[in-house]
Amino acid sequence: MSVQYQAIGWNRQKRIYDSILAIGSALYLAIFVGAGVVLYPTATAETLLIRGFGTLALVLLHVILCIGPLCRLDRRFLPLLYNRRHLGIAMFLMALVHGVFSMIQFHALGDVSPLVSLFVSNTRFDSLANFPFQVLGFVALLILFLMAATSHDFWLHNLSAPVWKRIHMMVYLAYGLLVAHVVLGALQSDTNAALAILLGIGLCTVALLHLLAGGKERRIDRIVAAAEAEGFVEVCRVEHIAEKRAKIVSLQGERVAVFRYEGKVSAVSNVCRHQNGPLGEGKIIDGCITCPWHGYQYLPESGASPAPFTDKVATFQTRIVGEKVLVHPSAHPPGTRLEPAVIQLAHAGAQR
Amino acid sequence: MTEPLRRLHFSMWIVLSALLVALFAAGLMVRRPTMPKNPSVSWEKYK
Repeated sequence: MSVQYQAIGWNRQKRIYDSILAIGSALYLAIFVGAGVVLYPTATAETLLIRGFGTLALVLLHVILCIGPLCRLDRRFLPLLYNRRHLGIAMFLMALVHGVFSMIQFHALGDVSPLVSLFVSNTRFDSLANFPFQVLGFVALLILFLMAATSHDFWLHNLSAPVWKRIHMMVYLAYGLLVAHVVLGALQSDTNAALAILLGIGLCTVALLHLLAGGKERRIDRIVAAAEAEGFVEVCRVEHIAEKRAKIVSLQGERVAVFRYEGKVSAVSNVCRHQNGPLGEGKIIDGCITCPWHGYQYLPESGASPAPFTDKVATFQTRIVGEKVLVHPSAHPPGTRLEPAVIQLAHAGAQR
Repeated sequence: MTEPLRRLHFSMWIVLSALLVALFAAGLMVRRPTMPKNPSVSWEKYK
């Protein structure tokens, strides 16, 4: 047996995403260079390209870093996450062009190798104003290369998810190095305040979004931990249960069907009282859990059959924290009505 | 993300935010003037 990998699994969404990215990048460069020619007539084409590609890479990096926390704060941003890897590779290529052009412009005309020149031409590591900022950009570019080179699923599967994730969390180190690269480089010699203002706004936005998203998840983790201390068990996420369907989970050896319906979640025993049919494989019809075998019905909140029938199944207490569904494994006596957990509005609409 | 990774991520951003904002402020403070200091010359005259 073998696993086959495709370079890129193209589909319509990816084509649209990449087209917007390519057109947006080309427009940005055209506007940047065009405006540069008008505003700075003495600037050379190389200088404008170095600045254009450098700022474009920086803008893309800010967008990339905002996508993750935005998605954690609001699910409506999830489509942006869909093809973030292509965005990352595009950003690396822009940064690479910026780096190569800079090496040619500033280090290729001496009598030492450009790489050696990069490290020895300025050694003022003790000065903030004259710091060798190009070295910072070079190290950041190496990190971005490592990330771009290992971005394919092949590496995700072969390195294992934890190792891959650790490597790709180095993007924060690269971001820090790039902010330092710009602050100690371009900002030191540029009289125009626009770059400083834009970088300040970008930095504050990225940091604030990550802190807000991290804070939100921390609160959820604490509530989950408190619920788990009371005996609740996290069984799945809300979006993993289809509307009017159930997810079957095993709690302390007993199978429990966790149903989602009308913005609520209830849990009952998975075993039908008629012939032990799997209730969780059935669906909710006319407000009742309906066994897939012979159509026996139960109210999801109480596990009791609607009148005039008298069959009852055990019920389980449910809770929803953030997007997580928790169920208490202690079964309540058959027919016990329990308040269903209410799904927040944003999640309720997700599966409809 | 797993819970330990989420915690690491959050802690990392608390430190990174403080560091980068401090660096940004320090970088702006040490920003050198692009015109050489020469009080006896009013360079606007020669524009």
